[in-house]
Amino acid sequence: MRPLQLHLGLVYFFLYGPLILLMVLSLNDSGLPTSWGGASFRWYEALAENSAIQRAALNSLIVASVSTLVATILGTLLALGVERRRGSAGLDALLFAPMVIPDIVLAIALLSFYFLLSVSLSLYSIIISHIVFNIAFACAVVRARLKQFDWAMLEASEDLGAPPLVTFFRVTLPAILPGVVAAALLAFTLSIDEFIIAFFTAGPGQSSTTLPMQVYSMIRFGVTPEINALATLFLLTSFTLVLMAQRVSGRRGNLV
Amino acid sequence: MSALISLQSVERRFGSVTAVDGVSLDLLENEFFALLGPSGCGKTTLLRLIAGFEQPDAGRVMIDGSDMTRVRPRHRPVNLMFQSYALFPHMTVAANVAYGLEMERLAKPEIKRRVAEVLEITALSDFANRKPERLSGGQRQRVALARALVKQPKVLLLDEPLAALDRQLREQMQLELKRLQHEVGITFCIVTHDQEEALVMADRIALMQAGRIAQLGPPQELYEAPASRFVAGFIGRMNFFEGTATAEGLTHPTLGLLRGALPEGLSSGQAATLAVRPERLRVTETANNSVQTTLRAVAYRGGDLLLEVAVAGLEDQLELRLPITEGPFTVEPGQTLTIGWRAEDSRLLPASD
Repeated sequence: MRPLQLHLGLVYFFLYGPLILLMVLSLNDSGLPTSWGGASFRWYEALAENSAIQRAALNSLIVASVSTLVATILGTLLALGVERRRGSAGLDALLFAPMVIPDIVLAIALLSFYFLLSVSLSLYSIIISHIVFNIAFACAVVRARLKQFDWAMLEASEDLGAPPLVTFFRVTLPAILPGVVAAALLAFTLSIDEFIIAFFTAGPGQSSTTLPMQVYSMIRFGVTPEINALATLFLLTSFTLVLMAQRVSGRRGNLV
Repeated sequence: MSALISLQSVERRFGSVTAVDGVSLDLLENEFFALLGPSGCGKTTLLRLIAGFEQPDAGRVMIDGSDMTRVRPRHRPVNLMFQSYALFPHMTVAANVAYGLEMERLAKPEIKRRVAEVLEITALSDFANRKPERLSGGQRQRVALARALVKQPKVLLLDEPLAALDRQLREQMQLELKRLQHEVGITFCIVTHDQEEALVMADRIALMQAGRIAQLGPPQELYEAPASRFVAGFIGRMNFFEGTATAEGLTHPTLGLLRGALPEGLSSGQAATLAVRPERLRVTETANNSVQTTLRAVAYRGGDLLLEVAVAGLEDQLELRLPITEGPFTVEPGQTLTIGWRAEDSRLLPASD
């Protein structure tokens, strides 16, 4: 037992040690990683006054929200279509491709694609790029939910007098809603801190700089305490989202 | 009585397979009808043709006097109870049952009243606010039934409604369904592969074979007067003797003449089968048909004894059911028995279908 417990302790230390250090440093008044100057929120205040960061955060929120909304809707519809029709293995592989091909490859491919179609790069091109890979993730999550879906429910609904749209909103969607919510949370999480694809398909200037890109440009001049504060906020947000996703799919997981 | 549903030469093909092959059939008012047959015989397809989930390639589906061949399921005055029950998991029992009435845009008080009524007759009133996941198999089955019944369909279609229940509950629900049909006065049309279930519940049975109706009639008729060897073998247990038809019965290659009435459509000299039910066979020497047998096995079954006897020159063993009330019997495997039956208790049938 002892060596195993030690092993477990080390794993947690390496996983969470740096994160805790980061959170502590974000509260360090001195701003230096080597000396503790007392706790304060001054770096959070500095963060609140930095307009470039705020602009980037807003951009990231826009990209994540829009791409999550569109990708979840399209991914859900795609999942329903694919699961119902029992497509070929080849089609399945194509659906999973955006999840497994390296980001850098997808980024370059999208960039050349936009260039070919003469799409000018901007925040919109980032949004479209994020929709592309998020559809694949959203579809996969909803499909997992659909494995236990009784398709006879759709016929039962029609038999009881419901037109197709009523069936969709009163039977299909409520039955798979936990899967759809989980898909949306995952898509949002993936999009909000995505760097490579956004970096390649962004337009010039502040107007299409997302938060990860802003952080990257700041960090080239060294890790400032401001970034520690920002990272801490990020960490807390994603932790909350993950917990919410688990609650949603856990609580209603055995429904269908 | 008038036909509520009338299928006219209905045909349905899936690729090269003909699932329903020119079936004509009338469902009458207030009857319990069973579509019976082995799996793949087309009985479920026939049910889905009536419900509207399948479109016939030829023929017509008449419901209550009007042609509904091309009418969507939601506009047909029939309801289907699905084999999987297909209950809506996110709705309570009451909401599941109310769903169909909400689609008719009925007033709230009326919906409430009718839901309460149907929950009452299906003994579900205590579970109105439960979700399906918190119900037993039998309760779920009754919710599916209530959800279809509340629509007051002209005909209630039931696709293998008891298949998911364990044996004891199934037998109980057979009588329960029959009582319910009687109570609500709606025509029930049930699909089943279980001949015993059909015999117990149905007023009339259509036994299907390879997309066609092999025989249609009341249970007694199918059991006592099967029209073909397939029907005789599918309904209940049966002993068969293969031979040649003659004016007096059947000439068996080794047993000689076995007496029986030559039916219409079978003439002297044709290959034929003589069929006798196990409960018609007796240990006797006075019957007009008798054969010498050797007892192979005895099974005590409470109400009766099941005997398996071998006949010299006969490949299959004969099955014999003796009511315990006619005993006591002292029989030992290995002993010789003379088995006999009355000629009128046997059926002479064409050898092949």
